[in-house]
Amino acid sequence: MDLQIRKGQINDWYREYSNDVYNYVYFLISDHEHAKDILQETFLRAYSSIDSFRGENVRGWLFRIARNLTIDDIRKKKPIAYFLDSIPVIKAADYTPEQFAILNESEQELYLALSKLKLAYRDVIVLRKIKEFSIHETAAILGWTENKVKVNLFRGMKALRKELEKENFSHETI
Amino acid sequence: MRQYDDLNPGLKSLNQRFVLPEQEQSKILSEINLNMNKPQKKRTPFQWKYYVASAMAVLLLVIIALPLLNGNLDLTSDNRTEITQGISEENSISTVAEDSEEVRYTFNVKNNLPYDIYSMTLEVYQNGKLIASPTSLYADGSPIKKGDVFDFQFLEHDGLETGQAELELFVAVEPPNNGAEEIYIAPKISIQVTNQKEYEFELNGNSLSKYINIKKMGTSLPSDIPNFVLDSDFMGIDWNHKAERLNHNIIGNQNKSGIIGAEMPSLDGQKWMWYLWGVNNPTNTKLTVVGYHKDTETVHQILTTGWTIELGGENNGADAHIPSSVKVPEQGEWAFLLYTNEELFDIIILEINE
Repeated sequence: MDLQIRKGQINDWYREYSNDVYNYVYFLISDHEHAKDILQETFLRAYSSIDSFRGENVRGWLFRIARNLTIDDIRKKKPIAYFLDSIPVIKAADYTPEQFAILNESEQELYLALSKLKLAYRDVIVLRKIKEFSIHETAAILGWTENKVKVNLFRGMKALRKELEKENFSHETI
Repeated sequence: MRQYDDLNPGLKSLNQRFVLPEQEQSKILSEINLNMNKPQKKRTPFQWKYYVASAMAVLLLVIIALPLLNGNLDLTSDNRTEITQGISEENSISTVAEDSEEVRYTFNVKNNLPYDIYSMTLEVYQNGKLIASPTSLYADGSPIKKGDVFDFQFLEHDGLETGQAELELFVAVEPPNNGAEEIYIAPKISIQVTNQKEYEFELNGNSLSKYINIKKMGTSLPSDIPNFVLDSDFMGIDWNHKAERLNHNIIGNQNKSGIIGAEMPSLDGQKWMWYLWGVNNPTNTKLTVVGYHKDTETVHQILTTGWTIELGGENNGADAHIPSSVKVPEQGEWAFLLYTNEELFDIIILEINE
């Protein structure tokens, strides 16, 4: 593919999907600076492997790249936490105050509950429910079977509801 | 517990909330373009630091985990009580709700699997939206055996409406185990929700695979059928009460309803004249005709213009009458269910030949 065409394509895709990809990564790691780095790296990787892109689903392909980079990032920064993947990777102190303050109360609750889930659940909930990918697309991004997606989504939503319940309960006792 | 079915819109709206400021967005784009213009970089080198750190982490884990494994029994029993509490909470909440609000729909699901299961979660969708996802299980955690039936009840405020709905069933085939119990999924089926209150389903599968499915029992109705036609209407058909010849060449049930024209071949389209007795205000009465074919157990629209037609006044000794174009799709024994103003009026049993 012609170099100029490639660059043009990456620019177009960036304009269309940069926010989408940015906040996807942000949902996974809650770190503004890292999310920006991963965003940049995603499009650079896309640029270098654009020849292997078969032209099906751009959004899904970009998300797949972003996710792999995010996982690498998590592994690098917190290898112990990555192994004990039942422990959430995010601590409350990592939230950028400005971003968090924009949310209304119920959105804050939802966001906090989501951040407490284990990575596998958060992953599938963000892709299916927030980013609204289909089961097929989600499976492709995660590298899972469709059945694994369904089962983890089911368990994830259950865990999310349980977290919200816990939060509500703690509000009442206060 | 039902309020959390509203999670979907909340989650969707979160998507709009974390936006990259324009300035930073453009800055990154320029960085990208800068890098694209440079010659291609080498692939990232082997991350040995990561592997060393991971090996250390695993070692630490093993050291920490050993004493925990010994104390494992305590942990699991705690979790079991927690789950039971969660369940009895759910049970008591639904009893309270029953007292104050009427149950609108009941879905009975029978376990027809050749093995025990431990819980069933029924997800109900309408127009792509999740309406409710109740879970049923025994409060003491005992297995749901073959033949056991659970009632899933939907209240008015659950928002289940008439029309098409999709059901998906998640079945735990192992006792609760911290969320790691094996789950089988019965793929989505489509059903018609009408004014009918109770719906029966059967959960089927075999002991060799994890493929299970859920089947709706009873008559399956066409999707455009009026919602006052109930499954139970078809159970009341008395096939021995066949139509007889009345005056004026009318065939039907004495002093109730009849047809002229049904003896002519109707498979290719025919004109029938309908007669009804005991209708008070014929010109303000609508007649709905629903055909039920005995052999195939299927439901069909009979009038070519639709399910319902307006009646005309007296004729041939009957209180109400109306001519119509009909098409009977198969030969055989039929039950024609007649509804006047949405209420079941009469059933005419006829043999239709080619």
